[in-house]
Amino acid sequence: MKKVLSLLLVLALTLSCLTGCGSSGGDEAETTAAAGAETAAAEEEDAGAEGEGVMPAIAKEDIKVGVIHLSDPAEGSGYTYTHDQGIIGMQENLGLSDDQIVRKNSVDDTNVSEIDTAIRECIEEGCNIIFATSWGYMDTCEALAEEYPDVIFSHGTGYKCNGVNFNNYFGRIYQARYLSGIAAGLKTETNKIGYVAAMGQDNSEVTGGCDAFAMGVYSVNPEAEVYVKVTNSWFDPEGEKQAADALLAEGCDVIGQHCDTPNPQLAAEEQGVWGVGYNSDMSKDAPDAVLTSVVWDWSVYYTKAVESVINGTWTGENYYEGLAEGLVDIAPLADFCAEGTEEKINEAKEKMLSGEWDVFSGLIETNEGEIVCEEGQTLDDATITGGINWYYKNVVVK
Amino acid sequence: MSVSEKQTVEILKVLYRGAQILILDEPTAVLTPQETEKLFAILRKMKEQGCAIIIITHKLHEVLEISDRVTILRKGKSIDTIETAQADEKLLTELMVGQAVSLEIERPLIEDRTPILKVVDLTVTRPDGSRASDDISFEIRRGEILGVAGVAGSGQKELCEAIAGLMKIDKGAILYEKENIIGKTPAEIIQLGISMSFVPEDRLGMGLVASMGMVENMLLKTYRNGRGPFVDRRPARELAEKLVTELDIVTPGVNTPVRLMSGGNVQKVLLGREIESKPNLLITAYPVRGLDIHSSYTIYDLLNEQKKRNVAVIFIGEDLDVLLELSDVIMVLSHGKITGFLDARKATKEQVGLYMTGAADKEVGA
Amino acid sequence: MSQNHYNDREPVIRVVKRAELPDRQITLLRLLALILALAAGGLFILCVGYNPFVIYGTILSGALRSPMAIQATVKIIIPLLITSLGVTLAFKMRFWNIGAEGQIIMGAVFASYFALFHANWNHWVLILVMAAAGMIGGGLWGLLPAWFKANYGTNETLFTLMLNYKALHIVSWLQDGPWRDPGSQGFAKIARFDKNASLDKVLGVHFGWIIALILIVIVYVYLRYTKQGYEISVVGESQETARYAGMNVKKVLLRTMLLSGAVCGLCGMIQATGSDITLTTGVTGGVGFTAIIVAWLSQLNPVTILIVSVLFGILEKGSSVIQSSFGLSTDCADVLQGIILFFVLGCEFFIRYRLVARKKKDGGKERNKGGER
Repeated sequence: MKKVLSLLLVLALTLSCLTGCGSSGGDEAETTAAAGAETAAAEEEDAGAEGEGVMPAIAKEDIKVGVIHLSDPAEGSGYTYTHDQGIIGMQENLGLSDDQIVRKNSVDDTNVSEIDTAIRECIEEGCNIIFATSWGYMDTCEALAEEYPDVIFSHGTGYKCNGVNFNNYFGRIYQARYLSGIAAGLKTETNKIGYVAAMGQDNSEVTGGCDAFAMGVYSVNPEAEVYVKVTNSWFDPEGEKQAADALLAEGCDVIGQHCDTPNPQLAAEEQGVWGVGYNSDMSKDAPDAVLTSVVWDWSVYYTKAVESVINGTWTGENYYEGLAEGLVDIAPLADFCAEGTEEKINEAKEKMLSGEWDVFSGLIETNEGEIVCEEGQTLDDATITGGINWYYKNVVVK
Repeated sequence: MSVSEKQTVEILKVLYRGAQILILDEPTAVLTPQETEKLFAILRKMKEQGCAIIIITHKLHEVLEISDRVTILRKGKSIDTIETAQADEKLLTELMVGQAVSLEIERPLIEDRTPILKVVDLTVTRPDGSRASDDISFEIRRGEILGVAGVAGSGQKELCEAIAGLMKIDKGAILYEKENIIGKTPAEIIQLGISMSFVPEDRLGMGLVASMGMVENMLLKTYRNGRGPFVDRRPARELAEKLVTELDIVTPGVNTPVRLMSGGNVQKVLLGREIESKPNLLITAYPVRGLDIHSSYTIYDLLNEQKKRNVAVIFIGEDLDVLLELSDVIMVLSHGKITGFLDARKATKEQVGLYMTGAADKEVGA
Repeated sequence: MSQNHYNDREPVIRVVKRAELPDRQITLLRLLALILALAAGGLFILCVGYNPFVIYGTILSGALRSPMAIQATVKIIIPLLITSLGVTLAFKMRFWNIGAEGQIIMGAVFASYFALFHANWNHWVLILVMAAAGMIGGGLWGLLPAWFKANYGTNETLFTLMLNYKALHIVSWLQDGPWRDPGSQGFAKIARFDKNASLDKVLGVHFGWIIALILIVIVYVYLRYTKQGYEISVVGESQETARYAGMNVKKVLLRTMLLSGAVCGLCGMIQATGSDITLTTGVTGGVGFTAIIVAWLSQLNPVTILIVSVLFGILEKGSSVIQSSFGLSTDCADVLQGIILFFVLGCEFFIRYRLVARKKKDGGKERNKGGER
């Protein structure tokens, strides 16, 4: 645990340096950790540019953070675990005590009454900011934000916000997926790469991520194809394994995934082939299969958000950042990755970090032959978050 | 297999296993007198071979005929054990009831007897496809008790249910005051004044709701009375209380579930309710089954009272002595067919027994 | 020799039906079960490393500590209460309606149609129409298995159970296809209803609680004092007797299941338009099954159902508070609930049956047995 935390701290530190916002650390949040202070400063600048915060400042000792989790962080891997690591990181960064965090675990995101009860309980226990981590919590957050204007609702992965006490946060995970695609494209021998997708083509988040992965593959191995199988569930241990098994039976020798459990990686490991994990570093689950994992570091956002509330600089705007801020990344490469993987990845990473190029820039052709992005163009964020319902040209739906 | 056949098999099974002690609980209920004789012959032979036999029966003449010693039980207590040779029916009854009882069954004769129900060519099939009633035709008149004899399972139940409108009828007509009631719903038939109090093998299975108290059970056929959606329980309570006093029903209260009451009292509740509905035709099946002598006589009196009120009574019985003493006419059923009509005042038990097996039919036919 | 054979076969302990127990003894037994349940639950809490008294205290205070907590508890109680009343109607008739889940969902689906596509109607007209639609939806979903049972003698337990999944899939299909929120960017969800199509709040909770209270009275009166209620009891006790009394058993069966389903459907409407303000696959929250337990624990008595529902609501709301205040896993709360249920339901078993140990035969035989081993 401690190791993870220090890792996060270091990560946060390096990233804040990378973004180049590292001004002086001496502001009103004196007691916060160095990394937190840096981010706060960055936030301050942002806020300064767009006017003051829209919510009153709350003293650090009065802050109470509510977290609504889809499952139990104790599962030790996957979506909820990753978010909870982010919360723990934020707590550490800002020096909050344990009783300043209220967790509601295993809140079924299809059961609105249960969500409602959980969030109201957080409010009742005095939370001023509530992070709702799953997509299904969105509408309830929106309604409660109206009912409780003093409480800040921050909703992960959705698209709604009211610009005051209800925003949403997500990240450019596609950037990390592109990088992981490079590792997959170089490793494959059958030139068939599997991809277990939680949702179908209509879902921009999943489809865009899959496309980014496929583009990463294509950039190093134009011969390879990406076979997609949809489970239609964000969390379905059995279905995810079955999908992976089906893909493996098709001859895929690298399995990428956009779903919660490490089961696709375990399936790959069982067959003696490879995979790319998601959410947290899945090499802890399938050490002989995972080339790398597409990972989130939610503490970057959580720290920034809570700090802005303490500083009174909360703007209520949506948060959508990526590689540059350290919100997304790939886990350290396994030593059985193909030769030259690291160089290729670093090359692409450099281009993204410098801002000269992003994944959805330049000529993009779909698997139906349609051109969705011309040379010299870049898709805007609205399209990336909500408008990708096509598959890249080397993607095959299974 | 019919109930009597099953019972025969059951007895055979025990005999075959070579039991040393044989306990028989009302073995003759499903047997004709002739079959009873055969059974008794077997029992005597077993006795000679050194078997011990316990026979539980409510028919006193059987006790006197077969047993060597008799133990009398009353309300779960052993009252006395005596040598049968020193006993007679009167003594046994006194010991059973605890007081002297007259064993005479009254049989008033009503002069004015007009037909009320006529059954013509009635054919009914059981769900399993067997014929329950096969071309049955008979007539019953007011002020008359029609006894129906036959071994168990000869179609008595289905005959009752057909008249009450509970069974699908294949063929034939049931004319009640010249009106064909086939096709009428049970509720309509009840409205006409046809009352059935059928006591099936498990006494509470039909006619009474076991978990309900007397008051609720009084409502069973009359709950529809009165306008509006609500049940009026007041008359039912009054009726229940009236029955308790008039028929000496022993119960902790009118709301005590009837399943907790003794057999005799349950029977009084059932019959009492039916009689109180002032029927024109009262069908009663095995009303004294499992009752002690005292209660049985109360029931006979009740039926006679109905007869005197010019009600037509169909009495389905199993004890031929009672049938012969109580009924005016005896109709004998065998395998769903009527095998004979006898004047109860003149017939003998042996005659009835012959008809019950269907054997007499051939003689008569020939 | 055959006797020996039987002796060997007799199990060490066997179950024997009890004679009727007096009411007071039954109440005492139940109380004892509750105390045992709390004790066993406490032992479990102790094993996990917490103070049972503190945890139990937190359950109570977590459910009742503030107006907000009470409101949340009431919101949990409402669907449980209404559904329990719904299944009680069917259970009274000995019709094993395990399909409350499906009936709730269909009620919610029917009501949602109006909430989604006729949100501009006059508020009270809309509410009434939605309530009626909900009752029709649930009622039809209840009628279906009853019709098959009445005409073909199908097994209602299986039938109603399977219809639950059908209903669930209908919602999945609706949110995936025809009713998908156009603004959801491809995510399968149904839009939140318009404010006009949601139940008003009274004392901080949607007025479903008033409906629930009224329903208690209605169901109580219906079962106790009406002709139809009387018919239900008789049919439940013995269909033979019901036929004998001139009742149309088929009609009673269909009518009662229609009503049972309608009450559950009304619950679905209340959940969708009062609590969720949308339609999801989680609209029932599992109350369709919990309600069966509540109804049985309450001996199908509407007033007792109120009490038991309140206790269940407190337990559920309180458990959720324990989870967050003590970091006790939600699974622990489930285990705790399970333990309590186990004892209370176990007690019902002992009210009806008792265990009889094998009587010791003459010593010789016992010794003989020992020797064989």
